[in-house]
Amino acid sequence: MSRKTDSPTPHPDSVVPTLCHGCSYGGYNCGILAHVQKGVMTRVEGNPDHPLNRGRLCAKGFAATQWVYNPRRLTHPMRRRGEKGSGRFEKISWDEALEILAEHITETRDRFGPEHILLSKGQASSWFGLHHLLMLRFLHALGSPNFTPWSPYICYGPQLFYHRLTVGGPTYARPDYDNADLIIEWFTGGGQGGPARGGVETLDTNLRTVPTKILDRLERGARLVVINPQLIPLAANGRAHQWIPIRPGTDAALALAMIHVIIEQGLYDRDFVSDWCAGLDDLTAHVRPYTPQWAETVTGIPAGDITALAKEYATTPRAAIRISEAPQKRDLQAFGTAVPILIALTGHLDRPGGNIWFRPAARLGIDVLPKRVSEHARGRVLGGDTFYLRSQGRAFAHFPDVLNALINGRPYRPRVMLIYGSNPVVTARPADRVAEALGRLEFLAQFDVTLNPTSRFADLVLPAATRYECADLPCLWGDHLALSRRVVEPVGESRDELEATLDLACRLGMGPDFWEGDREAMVRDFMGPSGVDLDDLRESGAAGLTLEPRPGGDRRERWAEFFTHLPEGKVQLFSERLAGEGFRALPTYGGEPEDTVNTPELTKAYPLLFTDEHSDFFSHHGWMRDLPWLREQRPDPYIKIHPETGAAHGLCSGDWVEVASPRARMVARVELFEGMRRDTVMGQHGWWQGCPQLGFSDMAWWDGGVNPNVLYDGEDRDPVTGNSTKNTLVRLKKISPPAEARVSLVEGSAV
Amino acid sequence: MRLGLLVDVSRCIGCFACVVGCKSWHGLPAGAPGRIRVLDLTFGTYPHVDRWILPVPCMQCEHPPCVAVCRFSACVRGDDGIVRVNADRCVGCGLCVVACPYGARSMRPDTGRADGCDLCRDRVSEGRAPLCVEACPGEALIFGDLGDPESLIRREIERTGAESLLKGYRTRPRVFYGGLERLKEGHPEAVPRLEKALSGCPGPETPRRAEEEDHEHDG
Repeated sequence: MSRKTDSPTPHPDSVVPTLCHGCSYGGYNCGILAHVQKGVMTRVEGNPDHPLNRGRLCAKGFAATQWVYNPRRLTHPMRRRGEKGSGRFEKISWDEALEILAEHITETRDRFGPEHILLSKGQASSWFGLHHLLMLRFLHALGSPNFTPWSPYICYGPQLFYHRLTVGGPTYARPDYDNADLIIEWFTGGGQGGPARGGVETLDTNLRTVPTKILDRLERGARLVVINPQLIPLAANGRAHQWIPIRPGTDAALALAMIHVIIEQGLYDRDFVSDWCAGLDDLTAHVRPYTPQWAETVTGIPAGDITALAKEYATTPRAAIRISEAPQKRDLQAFGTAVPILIALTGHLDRPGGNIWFRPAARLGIDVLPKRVSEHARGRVLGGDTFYLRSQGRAFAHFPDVLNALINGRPYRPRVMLIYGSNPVVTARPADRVAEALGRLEFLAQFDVTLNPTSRFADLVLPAATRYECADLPCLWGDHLALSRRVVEPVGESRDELEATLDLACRLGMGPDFWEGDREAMVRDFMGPSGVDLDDLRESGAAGLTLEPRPGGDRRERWAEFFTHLPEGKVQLFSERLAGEGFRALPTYGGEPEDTVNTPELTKAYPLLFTDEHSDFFSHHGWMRDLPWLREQRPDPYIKIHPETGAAHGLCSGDWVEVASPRARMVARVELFEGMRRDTVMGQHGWWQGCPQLGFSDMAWWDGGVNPNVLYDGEDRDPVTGNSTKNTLVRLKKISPPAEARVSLVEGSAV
Repeated sequence: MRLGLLVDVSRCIGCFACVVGCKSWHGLPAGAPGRIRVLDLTFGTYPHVDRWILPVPCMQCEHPPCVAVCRFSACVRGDDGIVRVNADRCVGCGLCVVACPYGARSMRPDTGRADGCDLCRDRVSEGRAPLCVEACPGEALIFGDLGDPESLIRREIERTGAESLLKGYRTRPRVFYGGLERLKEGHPEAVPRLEKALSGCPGPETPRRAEEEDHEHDG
């Protein structure tokens, strides 16, 4: 493929308005203008006419050309040659590849039953956009109930579940930054992803921004409180009025103590609570022991600060809380319910400046054909008897049960799996069980842009085109419809996953349900619910279309409307549904499996707390670290520690260190950072990827490698949702720089 | 015209959009610093820590040392007032890299020649602002004509009392920093530390007469 060496020309052949791939490439993202010269995408810039980012763009977005022209792009379908796990592949044609895949799917469906087919997808192809819906439709059309994307069901999904269990609503109640006078940014790890976004949380994907909304609001006198074990960039430059350096994993203790203060001092919104909340008496008695003094011992935050924060939040009429979209705790129930309780108690729910249910002006969608899954098959969805799945109509499979089924064969062992744009071996937990589980599949097909460690378990690897190479994809956010457009032809034989899936569906005889493979017909149907014609959207150019706001979309205090599915139509300070299922009905502090409260005996050998940042400005989950412009800013896997912690271990910035938890080890380079708790070690999620252009090899993702996930207890799970911890105890040991060890993803294939 | 920049540090979120955007726009290779850098410093001791992050572009000086030392007329200030490197004339001696007090010059590893900011002349000639300015997600950068008293940049500099960094070198930079007051109040040693960090070469301490600089933004 071409490698551009000259400076991009100021006069490109064309400039294509499209959407950025940066955070996820199937959804509504920042708008960009992509320059094309002789069929090559030379550079991008922000699209000034796109309301989300208004011409602004972040580092990840700018690195687009290095992603599209990544020398390690998959250019041909590949089939496994040799032993499973050997990483040996041979090139085959798309025709052959899809025939092989269709054969395996058909055989499994007919001989074993459709529930033996799993389908998983990652963030790359976005949540609830067309990719997501098409994949779900495809799986359902086969008759399988086992939709198995790892991330939202260990990550954002459980948090959203607890939120809605407590305060109802159609979706997560997001901060109303435009009107807030007090903004509480409460991360449990830290790190931002896509800062160009204007403070908007896309449907249910990560809110990954330091939005200009917050900056604008601060200029108008709003106060910002940042709760995080580290002093994140949002809190820098005098922006945060207070940094609360909380001990990682203890956030529920802070929330519970705040509830205690607010109730005890009568600072709650009496009218709202008496009219719209159930369980105040139970909650009051329950939080009595959760004093600020108690919380200080757990969180490391002075009791006075906790009390002051509770009072400030309760007494500021326009106050909003944002918590990390991915709290990832074994004890998630406590934190996941305590925060919406705080919002409700203080009368900040669906009020200006508080946490609000923002509704889009319209909807895009296709029928995902849930009825094609027979009752019998639906009843066999993995994990189907869990409350988590039952309460959501058994709409997807439960991740821990999928792992068990693959490894133990109970209740049955799935046989075929399709993975789209996901790398669960690195990004899911526990890493070794995920690897073991995937190794038990009869047939694994993976769609992706480059190889990744999960590919080692694949029988078929299919080259996905980036969104810059894919045809029109309508995306909606709020009242704005935008079009993701093709910028350049697909590299090599890479293919739009939507098209490839339609093709596969047709080969399986399902053409009538899949528009006979006609992508455009599908896209038109996808736009159907909005009432907008695709041609009008095409003609809208860089500006896209601004729709009429949803009638009543700016109404507030919509409690009557959005509490209808809650027991008694009231906020669940005490959760009737959890009580009915035999779970704890009130947020009860449990801590994490390995922490100072539950395993103090471990702190002798493992004296430091460990957690990891979810993403940062230069990477996203497990990808983008092979793009030189990004990788040169963050060359090595790192841990951040306080200089005193470093001194105690004889460590300077740049030294290599082994981080050992009670079960596993990882290696990283040290970064000394004054803005870090002295008892905390902060790693970063998702490391494995090398960057050959800068001389970095791919790295080991297993025990002893660079992947923090191996350190955590992946078995002790939240009994309700199955979420697991991103917290543990560790010790540090200085080591010599690791010898250059090339971890090969693939042998003998020309990539 | 005296084109310059105002950095509102209160809005810089340290995202590196300017750094990567500039490289992407101009097709610059990884492996060299590029035309704009980001400083990230902490002040104080835990838990009373302040973190300050700010961009350090080419200062587009009125008295540019790079131009002064260049024997090959590669470093020039054009009729448009923009300081830049004419790569065709550059022989790669590296003197400008040493001469710049702000570390704004570097050698490109792929060409062996000096590289430096040209205020995105290609964009400016079309009436646009430099890429860094338009890209910044925090909207921290303002671009305009310092010579026009009515311009937004002039008015904002005057309103905020924004000042340049390393004024003691007397290069009369056309880049100003606002929003540093809180930092200065909290940490008197902050600006000297900042200046030391952004300084491009191991040279003398910030000259003692730094405080006497005046009227740097007058027309």
